[in-house]
Amino acid sequence: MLSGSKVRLRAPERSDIPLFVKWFNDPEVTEFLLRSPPMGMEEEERWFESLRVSEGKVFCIETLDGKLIGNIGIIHIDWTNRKADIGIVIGEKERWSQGYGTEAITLLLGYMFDEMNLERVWLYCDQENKRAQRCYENCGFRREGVFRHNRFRAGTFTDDVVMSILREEWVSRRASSN
Amino acid sequence: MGFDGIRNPMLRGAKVGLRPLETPDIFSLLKWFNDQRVLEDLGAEHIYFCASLEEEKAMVDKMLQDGRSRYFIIMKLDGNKPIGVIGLTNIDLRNASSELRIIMGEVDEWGKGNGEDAVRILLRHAFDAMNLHRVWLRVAEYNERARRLYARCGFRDDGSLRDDHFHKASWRSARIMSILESEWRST
Repeated sequence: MLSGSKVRLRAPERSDIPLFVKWFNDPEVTEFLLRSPPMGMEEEERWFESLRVSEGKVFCIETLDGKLIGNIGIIHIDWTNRKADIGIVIGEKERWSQGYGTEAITLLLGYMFDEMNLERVWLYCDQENKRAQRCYENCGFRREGVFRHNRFRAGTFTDDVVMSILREEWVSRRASSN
Repeated sequence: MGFDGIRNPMLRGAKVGLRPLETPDIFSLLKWFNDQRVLEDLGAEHIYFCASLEEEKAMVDKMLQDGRSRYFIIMKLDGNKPIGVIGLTNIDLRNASSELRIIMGEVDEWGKGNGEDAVRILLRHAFDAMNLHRVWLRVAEYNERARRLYARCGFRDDGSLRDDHFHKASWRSARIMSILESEWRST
């Protein structure tokens, strides 16, 4: 378990599945995600089963008083090139824009740079998802490019913004925050 | 030097080249692993003094399927002849470390710098292509020729494994040696 001042990251459990299903059936939550409603219980159970053999790693974001509010995960790990990409969802809408995601990402970045010894952490998100981009920038990510027509949303292809943070940037942020 | 591509997939040095292990190599391995002179100083890794074709086949299958290992056949460039096997095993990608193993199977090719060439090629691959941080090995303490070779390639002594194996009627120790990426780059 990784703990901060607002949230902690823990492993997902089978009993969390109904809450995941609730989140992924809410069009407001999934607007900028790569999955859209409807999502069935068994569908989500199959996804949960697949986690055990997946190359990445999913963590639950929990407030310090034990309320599950979202998920964060490392999607692909490329050890030779020392890089990985991440994804995040805050499923509880009343917790949006209060710094929970920022702290969850910062906790995960600390693990990825200081324990996993990665060189680069990157992600992409819907160009129109400005709230997410602000959050990633607050975490130290820099915008580095565009994946053109990288997703199909609401009947049309849209571009994704690519963002990344390098080890040296993480190290200097950590030094200046101490 | 370098990689010749699909037609001749080989990492090249001055005297030898390394190419991926293939199933037909069991015939070479069978010969090498039945030669007492080859097995002599390996540190008693092998239970028996001989191996059958079937056993050798099973061993090669295991080597090829092991996702944490990468084995190569050492080819003498002059004559394009297999003379040994070398590999990285126990590859730990998270910690960027791996164990080097080498067996020079053709006794007639000993003492000509072929093994040293092979180790140097593999180190270059480990540090420049695989981005490893540490390459280590285990060597029988009494195998002084091998220890000198590893030292020439830049390996340092990490320590001793006391009474590591039983050989020639007594307990023998082994040494662990290692080389770090920064050390390799500065030589």
